[in-house]
Order: sequence, then structure tokens, then C-alpha cells
Amino acid sequence: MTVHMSRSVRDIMAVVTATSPPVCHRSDEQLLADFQAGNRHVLDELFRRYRGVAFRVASRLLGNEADALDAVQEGFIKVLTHLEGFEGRSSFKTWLLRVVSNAALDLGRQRGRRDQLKDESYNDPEREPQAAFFDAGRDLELADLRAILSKALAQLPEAQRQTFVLHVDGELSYREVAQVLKISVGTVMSRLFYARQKLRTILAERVSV
Amino acid sequence: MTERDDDCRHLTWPECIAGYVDCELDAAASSRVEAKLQVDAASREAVEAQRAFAPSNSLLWSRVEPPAPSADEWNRVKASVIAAAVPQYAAWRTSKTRLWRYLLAAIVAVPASVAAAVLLAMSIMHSPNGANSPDAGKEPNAEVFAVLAPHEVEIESVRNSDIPLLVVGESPFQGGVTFVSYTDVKVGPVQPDSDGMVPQVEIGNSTSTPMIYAPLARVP
Repeated sequence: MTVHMSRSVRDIMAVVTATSPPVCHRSDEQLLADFQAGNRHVLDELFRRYRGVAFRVASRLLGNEADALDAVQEGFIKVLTHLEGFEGRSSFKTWLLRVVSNAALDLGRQRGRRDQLKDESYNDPEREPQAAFFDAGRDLELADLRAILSKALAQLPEAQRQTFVLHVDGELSYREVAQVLKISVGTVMSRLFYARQKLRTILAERVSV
Repeated sequence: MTERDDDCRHLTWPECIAGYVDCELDAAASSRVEAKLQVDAASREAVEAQRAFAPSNSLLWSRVEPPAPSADEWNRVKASVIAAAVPQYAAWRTSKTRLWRYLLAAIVAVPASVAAAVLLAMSIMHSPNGANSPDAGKEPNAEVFAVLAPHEVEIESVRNSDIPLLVVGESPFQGGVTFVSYTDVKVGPVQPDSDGMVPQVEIGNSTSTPMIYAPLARVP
């Protein structure tokens, strides 16, 4: 019996048996080149790689998961629709985090997050847990701890906040943060020092750090 | 503590401390910072404060990590990204392809148009009627020039004709047919017909109808 494979089946078999490495093993540059060549399926892999870190950065900057998802979505769209402007001098990750963090800050400004936070019960001593960050024995709700940190971050100057979040949540080195924000490494160091100092001062009144 | 500390050379002391906590200083600079920490309690306290919020404090950051979105939420975001990004990228690619197509079409069309214009001009110049003829440029009607022999025609029927009879057969004329006006004809004596009747001949200015002048065919 002669079996005639359809064209689509042959194509699939060709892909399966191709010697090129799986998508998950390809570099960002290779994936971007594939996308520019018309293969839109590599977007799945790019999205899977960086959605988490982008969400952490946006979430920390905004203090709101729903808004953070909007910032991540906006960031990915902006980056992918402006690929012709990507010169490859920085990595895709730093480029994406730059766009996502800026989108998050814009969203925060638009939605008046700071004003909202001031109106909330941040200064209500009855709602503030008294706990140490490093003492696992204390019964502190994680959500409350997140909220405290988020509110403390909201009191930082925007430049310090963005620098701090990109370094901590974006897992970027000093040099990468400097590239993202187009500042010197010394400025990154300085901003981080004063951001931590201020966080400590703010949080020392609520929790024993 | 000086603002720009000699131990970190080109960095301020706060910058040195931040870099030291995050392991961003080279070995020599780190050694200089550690030497100073041995003798400066305020600096040690500053380092501890920095470490509390450094990425290396994994206990803190693991506890305050925002809850991950659900798979449905990620799928919704991804679908929105693809819907927004892929059509625009496709449009961008299409516009690039279009540009190449336009260039290619221009490369082919311009010489072809020039060649067509030259051929048209040459055909007009060589035309016997020239460009001033009212028929110039018209496609010749092949039916007008069709010449058929009698055996090639078979009349099947004649309907709605304005004459009761249709003459068929050989042409009564020999040679060509010439159209003349009455001024070209001089009428001589008119002979009586076989029945003895003299045919009535009217000719003169009363009519401008052209006459047909042709030698009669010989009756075999």
C-alpha cells in the first residue's frame, strides 16, 4: 500500500527532523532574527522567557498586579512593534525592562497611585504589622509585607525607585541598569545607596529591620 | 568620611558601599572597603543597612515576591501582544516587500513604456493615411475587406428586405465600376426597345444622383 503524505505532514516532519536547535535553546538574537524572517511562533518563547521578570518589575513599581499585567502587555507590544529600532547594543532583556518599567511608571502616574496610597490606611497603626523581615518565627502575612514594602517604595523618588527595582527585581547588573536608564554606573550606585537608606528609614518605624 | 573617598579612588563612599554590598567592585576596591570597615563602625552599620535591601537578601525577596498571574491571565496578555504585534510586523514586512515590488515594476515598466511609445510613433509615421485621417488609429474592420467568390455564398433566406426581388448571379459589368455625375454623360439618340417603346430618359440638373457608368458584360 502506498501512503501519500500530505504536504502539511511532510512540512511538520521536516521541522521535527530539522537539525536546528529547539526554540528553547536558541539565543534571544536568534529568536528575534527568526521573528524578523516571518516566524511569529518564536514570540511564544520570548514571551515565556521574560514575562516573569517583566511582571516582577512592573508589579513592584505599580504595587498592583492587574496594572502590572497591563504594563507588561504594553511593554511587549512596544518592543515587538519597534524591532527595527533595536540596534543590538544592549540585550533584549534590558531593552524590554526599560520599556516595561517606563510603561509602569507612566501607568502609575496616570492612575494617581501615589495619591491613592496616601489616602489608604498606610498610617493606620492598627493595620501595620510589627515584625522583623528576617525573623521567620513572627507571624506576618506575606501579603502585608508586600504591601508595606510597596508603600515604602512608592515614597522613593521615581529615579531611585526605578533604579532599585531594575536591580533587585529585574536582576540587572549595575552596568545593565546604567544602560537601561542611560546613566553612569556611579549614578546607579549612588541611587541604590540612597534608596536603601530611605527604605530602611521608612520601614524602621514599622518593622524591625 | 570624605565625600569622595580615596580608598575607592574615583567613587564616593556611599557608592563604594553600595558596590561592595552588591559585589560590583573589583577585588582591589573590595579589599580597601573591607580595610576601612575594620576601623569604622559607622561604615559597618551602613553596610548592614544596605544588605537588608540588597538582592542577596533572598529571604526578604522570596517573601515579598508578587503572586504570579494565572495561566489564563498570561494567555490573555500573550494573545493581546500577538494580536497587536504580529499584524503591525506583517504590515511592516509587507511594506518592505511592496517597496521592492514597486521598484521592480518601475524597472520593467519604464523601458516597456518607452518601447511602446516608439513603436506607436513609428506606425503612425508609416501609415498611408497619416495621423490626420479620420480613420487613423482605428482598427481596420476585416469584414469590409472580405472578398468572397459566388460559390462561397449560399443565401438561405431573405427577410424584411426593402426590395421584392434579389438579383443573384454573375456581375453584369466587366471591369471596375465608376461613379459619374450627369455632367460627365452626353446622351445621344435613344433607340427604341425590343417592344417598340422608347425608354424615358431623364437627365439634367433636376437630379444630383450619381450615375453608374460601366460597360455591359457581353452576353455569351
